[in-house]
Amino acid sequence: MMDSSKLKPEKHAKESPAYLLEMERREFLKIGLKITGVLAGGSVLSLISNVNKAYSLDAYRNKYPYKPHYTMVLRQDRCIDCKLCMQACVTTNHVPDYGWRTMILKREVPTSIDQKWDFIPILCNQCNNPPCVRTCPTRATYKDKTNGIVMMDNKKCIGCKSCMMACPYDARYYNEAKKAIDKCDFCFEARLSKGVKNVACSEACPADVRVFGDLSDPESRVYKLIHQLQKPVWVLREEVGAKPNIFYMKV
Amino acid sequence: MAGFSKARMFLNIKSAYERVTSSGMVYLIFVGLFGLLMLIGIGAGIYALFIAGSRHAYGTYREVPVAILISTYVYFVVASTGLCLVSSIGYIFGVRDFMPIAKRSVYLSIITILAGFLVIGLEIEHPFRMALYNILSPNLSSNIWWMGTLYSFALVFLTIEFIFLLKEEKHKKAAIAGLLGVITEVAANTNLGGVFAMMHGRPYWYGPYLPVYFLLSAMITGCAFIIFFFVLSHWINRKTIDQPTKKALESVGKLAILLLVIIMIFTVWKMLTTSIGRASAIEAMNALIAGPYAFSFWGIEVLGGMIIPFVLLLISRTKNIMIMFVASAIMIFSIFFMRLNMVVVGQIVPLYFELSVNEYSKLHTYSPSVSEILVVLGGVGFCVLAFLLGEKIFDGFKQT
Amino acid sequence: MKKSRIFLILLASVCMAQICMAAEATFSDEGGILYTQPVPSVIFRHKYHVDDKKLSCEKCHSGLFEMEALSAQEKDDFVMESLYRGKYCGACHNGKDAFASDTQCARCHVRAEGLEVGYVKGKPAPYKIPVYNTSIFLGKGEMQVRFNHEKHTPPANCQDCHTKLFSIKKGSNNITVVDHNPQKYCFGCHDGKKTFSWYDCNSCHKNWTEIAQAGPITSKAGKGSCYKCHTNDSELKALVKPPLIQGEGEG
Repeated sequence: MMDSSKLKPEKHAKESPAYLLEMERREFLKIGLKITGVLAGGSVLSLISNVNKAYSLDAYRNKYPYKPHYTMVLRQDRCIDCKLCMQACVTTNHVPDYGWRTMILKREVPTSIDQKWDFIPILCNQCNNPPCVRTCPTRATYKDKTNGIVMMDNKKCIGCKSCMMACPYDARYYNEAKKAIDKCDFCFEARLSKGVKNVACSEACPADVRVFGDLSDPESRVYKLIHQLQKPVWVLREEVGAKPNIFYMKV
Repeated sequence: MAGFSKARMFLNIKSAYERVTSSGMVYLIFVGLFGLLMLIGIGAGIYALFIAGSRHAYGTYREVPVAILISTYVYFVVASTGLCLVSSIGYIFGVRDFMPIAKRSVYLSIITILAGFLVIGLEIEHPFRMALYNILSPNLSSNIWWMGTLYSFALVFLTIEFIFLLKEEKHKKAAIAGLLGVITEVAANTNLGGVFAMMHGRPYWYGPYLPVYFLLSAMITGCAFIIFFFVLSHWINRKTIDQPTKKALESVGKLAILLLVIIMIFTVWKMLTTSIGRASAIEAMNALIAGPYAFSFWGIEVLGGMIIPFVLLLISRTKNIMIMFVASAIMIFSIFFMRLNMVVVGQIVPLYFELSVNEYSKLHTYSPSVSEILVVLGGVGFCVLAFLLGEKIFDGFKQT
Repeated sequence: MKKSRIFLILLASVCMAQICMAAEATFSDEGGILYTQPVPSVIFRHKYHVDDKKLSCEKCHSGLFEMEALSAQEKDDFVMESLYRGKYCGACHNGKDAFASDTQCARCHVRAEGLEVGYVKGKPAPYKIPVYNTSIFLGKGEMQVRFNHEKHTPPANCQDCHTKLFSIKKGSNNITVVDHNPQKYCFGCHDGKKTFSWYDCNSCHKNWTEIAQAGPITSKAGKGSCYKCHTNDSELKALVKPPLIQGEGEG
C-alpha cells in the first residue's frame, strides 16, 4: 500500500511504474501489521475473547464459572420415545408447530444383536463456547453470566439466521410470533425465573432420562452422574469445539 | 457537505437529466424494463417479509436457513470488492495501464454494494432493527457485524473517492479515499469469507480456505464485470473504445487469465483435501461432484466459470474485445451459481449426519421460491438500472 | 358373567392356534398389538413369543394377560414397577427367563410411526382371525365332548370364552354335570336363545342314550349322578330320549 505522501501531484511525473511498485512493497510490509486486525476483524477478536475458554474438557469440568451452572444429563438408554418431554416443552414454552426446542432422534442399527435402535434426545446444548453467541451481530443472543444459559434478547434479533447457520446442533429456529430466533432456554422464562426448580421436559419424562441440575453443586445428582469414571459420559460433536453443556451417558 | 456550494458542482443535475431523457428509445426501454424489474423484486421482497412471512414465501427452512438471497448478496458485494481492487491497481498502486478504468469501476463498485444491500435487506427479517442494533449493540467478535460495518464504510469511502474522481483535480484526496476504500473492501470481503469459514459446525465451510478464496474470486469477478460493463457502456454511448481503454481491458484480461488459473488450482486442492476429511464434508463434496448439484458444479461452475472463460480469453489473446466480452458474460452468469453452490452445499448435509439417525440420514433439499427469484432479479434490475442511468448521468465517465 | 356379543371393534386381535393340543404352533398376529397407555408405544408381537420362542398360550394367558387385546393397558398397575415385581411381562422378563425389563428399554418401546401395527384400540382388527382346525376333547371316555374351535370362531372371539370361562391349559377344565349352569363354561351361550340349548344333550355328547344308560342314570349314588337333581325316575327316563327342546328350558 502506498504512503499517501507519495501521491503529491509534483511527484507524479517522476514516478515510473517500477519505482512505484517497489515503494509499495516496502510500505505494504510496514502497514500490513497495522491493518491485519481490521482485515481479520471478527475472527481475531473472537479468538481473543475466547482464549480464556480454550481449555480441555477435563479442565473445565474442574471449575464451573456459573452459579448455578445448569446442565442436563441425558441417560440415553432409558429413552423410550414416548415424546412426553416434547409435548411438555411445547405446552410450557408455547413452541409453534413448525418448530421444536427438543426432539427425539432414532438411530437404527439392524445388525445389533439385542436392541436394534436407540432414541437420542437432543436440545440446545447451552455451549460453554457458543458459536451462535460469537456470530450474532447484535448480541441478541448471549450467554448469561450467572447461570450459563444461552439466552435470547428478542428485541435485538434481526433475523439474519447466522446463529442458525453457526449452531452445530440444529437447536434454533425462527419464531414468527416472537419475531426472533427461539431455542431452548432451560425453561428459564417459563419456570426457572419463576422459582420452579426443574424444567418441563425433565419433569415430564416417565423414564428419568433427563436429569437437570446444577453442576457447580457437588451434592447434585448431575454432578455425581458425570464425575465418575466407570460409565462413559460423552457430548455430541465434541470436535466442533463448542464445549457443550449437555452430557450423554448410558447407565 | 458545507464546502460544496462553494466548490464547483461535480455534477450538473440539469444537463444530466437532459442527457438521460434525450437518449434513444432502446435505451429508455431498457431503463424502464430494469426499473420495473427492480420494483417487482422489491415488491416481492416486502410481500415475503412483511405479509406472507418468510417461512411461507421463501424456500429456506430450519435446516437450510440461508440460500439464494445470501448467495446473491455475496455475489454482489464480492463483485464490488473485485471492482474496487482492480480499479485500485491503476489509481492507488500506480499501474498506468489500469488507470482508464478507474472511474467506471468505482461507480460499479458502489452500485453493486447497493444492490447487495438491497437484496439482503429483503432477506433478513428485521432490516430496521439491524440499522439500530448494529450500532447500539455491536458484537465485535461477529464476522457478520464486521462485514456489514466494513462494507458500509467502504460504501462511504468509495462514494467520496468517486466524487473526488469526478472532480478531476482532487487526485490525492481521491487516492486517500480510494485507499481506505480498498482496505475496508478487502477486510469486509475476507470477513465475509470468515462468516462461513469460522463455523466449525459446518465442515464443508470450515477452515482457512474460504476467506482467501473469496478475495481471489472477488478479483476474478471484478475483471469479468469490468470487461462486460465497459463493452456495454461503449455500445450505450455509441463510441468506439479508445486506445488507453483498450489497453486497460487487455491488462484486465491478462489478470483474469492468471487469476483463473489460480482459482482452478484452488478448487482442485479444496476437493482433494476435502476427500480425506470428515464424512460430512465428503458427503457435501459428493453432492457437488456426483449428486444433485453435479450439473451446477461441473456444467456451470467449472465449465462456465473457469474453463470456457479461460479458453476464450486465451483465444482472444486479450486483444479481441468481443471474445473477451463473451467470456466475461459467461463468467458473470456462472459465478452467480458458484456462490449459490457454496452457500447451499455447505448446509445440505445434516448437522447430525455422523450420528446416523433416521431423521438426518439424507441430504436436505433446497429450491428457490418464486419470491426469492424475484428478489434476486430485483437486485439485478437495480444494478443494471443504476449502471444505465450512470452512463448518461455521468456522461460516459470521460477521462481527462 | 353374561357376555353379549362383542362388537367388531372389540374383535380379538389375539387368537390362539392349536396351542392347547401341541407345543408346535404358529401365530401370525399380522402386525402386533400397539400399546399406547400409560406411555406410547409398545408393540407386542406374538410372532416373537409363539413362533420363535415356542411359548404355549397358557404361559401368559393363565392369569398374566387377558386374551382381549389391550385390556392390560386399561389397568392402573400396568407400569414398569409391576413388571419389576413379576407381573405382566415381568413374569418372564426378569433377567433369567428373558432379558430383564429394566434393560434394553427400546427393544419393546418403539416409535410406532411407519411400523406395521395390526391391532389398534378403537379400530377393527385389519386381519382375519385364524381358524382353528383341531378339535378339543373335553372329558374322558364315553362322556367325552368334542369341541370344534372352527365352528365357534367367528361367531365368538377368543376373549369371549378365554380366560374367564375356560382356562387354556389342557385338561384344566373339569366340567361335571353340576357345572352345567348358565354362569359357567359353554352354557352361558348355549342357553337356547343365543344358540342351541345345552338341554339337547346329543349336540355335544354323542350317543347320549347309550352313555346315559351306561352312566349317570344307573349309578344313582355316584358323583355327578343325574339323580341328584332329577329324583323322579320315570321323568328322567323320559328325558333320555327327548325331542329337540326349543325355547324355554327347565331349571
